[in-house]
Amino acid sequence: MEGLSTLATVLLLVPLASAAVITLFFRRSGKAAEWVSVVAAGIIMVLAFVLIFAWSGSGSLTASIPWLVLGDFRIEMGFLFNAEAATMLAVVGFIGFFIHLFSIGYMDDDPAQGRFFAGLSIFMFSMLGIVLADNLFMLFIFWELVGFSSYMLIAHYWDKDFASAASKKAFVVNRVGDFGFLIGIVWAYHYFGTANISEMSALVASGEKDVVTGIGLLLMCGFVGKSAQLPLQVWLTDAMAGPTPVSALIHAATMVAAGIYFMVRIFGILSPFTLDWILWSGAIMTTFAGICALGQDDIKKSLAYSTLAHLGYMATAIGLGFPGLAIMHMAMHACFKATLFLCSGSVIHACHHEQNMFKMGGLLRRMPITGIAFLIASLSISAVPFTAGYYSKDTIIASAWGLFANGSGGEYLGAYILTVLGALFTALYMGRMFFVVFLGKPNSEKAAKARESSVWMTLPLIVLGWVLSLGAGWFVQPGLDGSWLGGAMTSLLPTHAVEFMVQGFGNDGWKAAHAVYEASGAGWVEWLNLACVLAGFAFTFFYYGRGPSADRLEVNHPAVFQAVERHGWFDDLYDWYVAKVQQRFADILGFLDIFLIAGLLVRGAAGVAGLTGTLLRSLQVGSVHSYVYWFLIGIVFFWIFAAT
Amino acid sequence: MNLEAFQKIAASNLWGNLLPEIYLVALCLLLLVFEMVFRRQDLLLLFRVALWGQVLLLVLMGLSYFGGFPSGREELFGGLLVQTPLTETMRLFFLFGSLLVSYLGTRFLRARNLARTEFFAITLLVTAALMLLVQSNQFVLLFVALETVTVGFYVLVAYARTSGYSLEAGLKYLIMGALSSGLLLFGIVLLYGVAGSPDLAGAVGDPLHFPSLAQFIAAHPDNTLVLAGSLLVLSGIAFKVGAVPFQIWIPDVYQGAPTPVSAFLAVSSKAAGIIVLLTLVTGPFAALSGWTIPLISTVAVLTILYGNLTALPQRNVKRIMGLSGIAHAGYLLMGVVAAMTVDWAVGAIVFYLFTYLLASFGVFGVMALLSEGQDADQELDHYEDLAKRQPLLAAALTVGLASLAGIPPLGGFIGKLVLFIAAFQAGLYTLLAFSVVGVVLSIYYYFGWVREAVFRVWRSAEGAGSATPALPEPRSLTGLDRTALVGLSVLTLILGVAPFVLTWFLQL
Amino acid sequence: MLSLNAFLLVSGLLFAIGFFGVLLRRNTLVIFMSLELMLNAAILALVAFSRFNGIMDGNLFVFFIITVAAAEIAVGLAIIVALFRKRQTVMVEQLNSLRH
Repeated sequence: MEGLSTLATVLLLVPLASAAVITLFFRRSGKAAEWVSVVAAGIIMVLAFVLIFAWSGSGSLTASIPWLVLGDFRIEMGFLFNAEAATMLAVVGFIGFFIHLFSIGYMDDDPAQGRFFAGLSIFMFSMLGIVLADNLFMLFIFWELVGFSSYMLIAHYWDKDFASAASKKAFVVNRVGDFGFLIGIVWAYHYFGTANISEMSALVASGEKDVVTGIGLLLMCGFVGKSAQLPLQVWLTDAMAGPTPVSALIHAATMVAAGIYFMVRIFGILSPFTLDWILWSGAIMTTFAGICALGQDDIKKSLAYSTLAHLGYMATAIGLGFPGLAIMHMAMHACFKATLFLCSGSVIHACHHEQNMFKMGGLLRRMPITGIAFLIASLSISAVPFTAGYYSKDTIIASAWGLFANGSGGEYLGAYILTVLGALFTALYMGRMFFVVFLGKPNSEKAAKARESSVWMTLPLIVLGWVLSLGAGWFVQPGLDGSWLGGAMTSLLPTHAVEFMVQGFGNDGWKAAHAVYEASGAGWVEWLNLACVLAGFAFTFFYYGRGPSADRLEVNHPAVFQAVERHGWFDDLYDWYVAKVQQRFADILGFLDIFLIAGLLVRGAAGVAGLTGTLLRSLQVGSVHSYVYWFLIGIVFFWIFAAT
Repeated sequence: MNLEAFQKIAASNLWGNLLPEIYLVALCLLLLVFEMVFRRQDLLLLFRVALWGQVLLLVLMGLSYFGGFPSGREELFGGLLVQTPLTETMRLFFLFGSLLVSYLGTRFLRARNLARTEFFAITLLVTAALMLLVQSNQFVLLFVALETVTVGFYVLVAYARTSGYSLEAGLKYLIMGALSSGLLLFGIVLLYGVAGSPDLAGAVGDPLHFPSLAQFIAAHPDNTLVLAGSLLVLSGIAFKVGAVPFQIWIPDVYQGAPTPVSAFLAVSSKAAGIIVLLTLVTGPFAALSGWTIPLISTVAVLTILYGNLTALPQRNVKRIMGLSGIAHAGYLLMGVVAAMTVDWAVGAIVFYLFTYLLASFGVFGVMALLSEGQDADQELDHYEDLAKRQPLLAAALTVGLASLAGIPPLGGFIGKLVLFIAAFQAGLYTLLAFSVVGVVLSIYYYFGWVREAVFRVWRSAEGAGSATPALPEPRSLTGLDRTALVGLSVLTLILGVAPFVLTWFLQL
Repeated sequence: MLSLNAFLLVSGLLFAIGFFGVLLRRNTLVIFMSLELMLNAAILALVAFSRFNGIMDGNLFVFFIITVAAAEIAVGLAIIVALFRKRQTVMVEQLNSLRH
């Protein structure tokens, strides 16, 4: 136990040390920064797995250190390590390392490598902090740090207007969510008398305290902001302005999933109403974002919408009451979504930063490793049977039906319909993307000259795409508990690893969800899913054709396309709000400001405060005599207290 | 007195326990000897002797803690002074402060034609006196230590003899300081007289000794002379702290004094005042808590409001620092009130003081580095576009101001947090509400400054045509400047994310 | 023999004179003298208390106070002289360039 908490501390400090070393010594030498950061990520991965195997699925592990001790008063900071933490740690460590590797290739021509890799290290530090934190305060600190590194990396190309605007947008939108989050934390602390996650859950489980809907909803604000759920989803697509490895690591695989992870951690203190809310917002997101993804020409933005949709699936799983399933889908999603982003990064890099899909085309022949990885990940994300995505995503959809069928409530039918539609749209936009980018003939000079990327970039694609997107779910095959194919799978890997794959991936959640589905006896659900996927691929193959140079939907039905492209006018609504409401308000304030400066105050719209300040200021007349009067007044004033 | 008592007193004369103070005074004398030997007044040599001498002391004190940080309470020299973990921590605090003042002093003196040795010598002497002040357990030592500090500060404040501002500030500080010393002394005399009076039951034989006095006051809490004496003593201390209504001198003196001295006053002098106040209200005046608690609470509210409100319309940065320092004194006074009922609040006060030291010296350091010429006239306008001209200075300034404002994840946030929690536990809800108002107000002027320094750069370029007098470009920063500023910022950040590095050894 | 109260009365008067001297006089030097008067008031009271209470600490304290006062005077006069050289005045109402 002692050893494990030391290990966890070291794990947490490695990326911090890396960031410090880079900032202090290697700001200008990109190569050195690169290696420091990558080696740190490698150490993190190794230590993460050492920790996971040492833990080996045995309940939850807690350790805490006094963070602040003053006499009787102490604040503890500690680690809570359990199944979801193990999964998240594996995802962050493993995928993080490969994305670091990929970055070596992707950022090779960037002048600000030092800043970029320092940012990645800070991100790893804060993300690990979120994974391990055992109380809400500590979690909030790392939550903010994660946000900070995210803005820093989004604004990597800060001299481009869209990048700095995007980071500003991410910042503002997240503030909205975090404000609610912070109030939720304070309320929770006040209500439970502790901010420790396991203690709070224990209080609820023992019936000592009831769940409070308000706390859950406020804490959910943080999740909604960070995981870009309705209605705060607007920042994520803009965040694609950052370098592609950042999009892969932060805005697809890990950070945005931190919101989900957080909701799973505090699952024990969520009220049924909160869960319903999460269910609806998640289910709606699966379809809504799926539609939006069809309206994007930019490959990264289209993938960003796909991320939103899949975060929606995870939220749905939580709302259905299967947090373990949500974590499992998070892990699977991290594999295939990181692959998709890295493939898009590889393509973008090869096409000299061309991001428009319709200017690519025919890349499968030129970049076979990338193309195959993309294909596998596309199948996986669409939940084609026996790929990684199938095990989690299909189970989410099926268990929604299962819950409706066993009479748990009408809302589960709604969730089922929306998620099935979401699956259909997944197949549609993934098919569109694959056929447009990789088949047919090149549509631009850049695409024609594209060549397969360097080994730094293809190695992660092979590991994450060819291997994990395909097989990450094979250990949870029904009923066999890791002994599928007569134990052939388990004999491939060390026992510890298998234990982790079964336990860590939230297998219990998966089993429970699967049992609900099995009980309903509706075998057609799975067939319908498969039909949707096949229909989606077939439709896009024939509708868009191979490697078109323009979007057929845009050409034939511009009105429809535009509606899809404007993704429900959310951005317009926000723009309108900022331009009309907020700006008017600011104008009024500005007018008051000027008015008051001219009239009463020196400056500031702080009314009474400014006025009082000015008055008090005028008392400092600079003459010693008047100051002595203050002393006289002071003694009289003190005497009043002493005499009464 | 019999022989045994004398032997007991003699046995408590542990000079070894005063080695840090003795060392500092010896270093001060060494510097004066140096001046006689090396007539050239080589600034760098003096500075190195002063700096490394203090670093050596810091290291030696650190080494001495390997045997365990002092714990418990030990009276020395026949009860003249008392050593506790708190006083030991404050010794380190003052030593740290004096190191930074010495460093800033070099920057200040380099650009000016002034006497040099004396600055370091007096700084060291004042530091030794500050250390004795917080350890004093008896009014004679308290008064003498306090006066050594005050007289030293008269010289330091008026140090820039060629500047009318500095001299005027010196004179104002002199008159106000002497007046408050007079009040304090008269209060001491009244207490001495009444506590030793044979007419009263329970009169004590050594009325200047704090525990004896506490005993007497506990027996006669309503005696008029006790009331008059204690309120005069408290007034004298309130002057040191800069509490309303004894705060009025602060902006003028801070503005006129050389920047390093302003920092010294703002941090070390104020901290000593707070600790002495704490010693008094929990020691000899403990029985008077019936009126000292409401009195200090009211004063704390007024101080917080005065400091923050008056800083709002202020444009002169040194006055802003002075006024914000008043506000910080207000928060600390709240801590003192809390410490009267909640034991661990003492630790919160000390933690706050350390974060305040780091942040204040960061900001004052930037101010000192920017004011090569006249340093009393620095306005906010001079900081325009600092981020573009001197990114490091702008960063250090931002960290310092944000920490003073109490923004997470900096040390100042944790300092305010623990202080506020202590006040909450002590049940000081009204006080807490005013403190929160104060913090909100303070964000306005701190960020007005940060906006000037950092965010102006992001405006459109056309707006920069306003007629602001450009501040003379600071000389290129030396390695030491960078180390000092980066070090202060990093320490501020460390206290914010890992406060246990301080609280672990601060077992108060 | 005079009673303790008589000494205290004189001491109190001296203190008040000193305080109001600081409050009302315009010349810095005179203000300075008034400040010293306050210290002397304290000394007188101290000696009186010491004598009547039969505790010698007070007499000892007096020496420290005198020393402190001497140091204060030395520094104070130096500042006043330097200020006079710079500003050609020692009147308090003209010494208010630091304000607001």
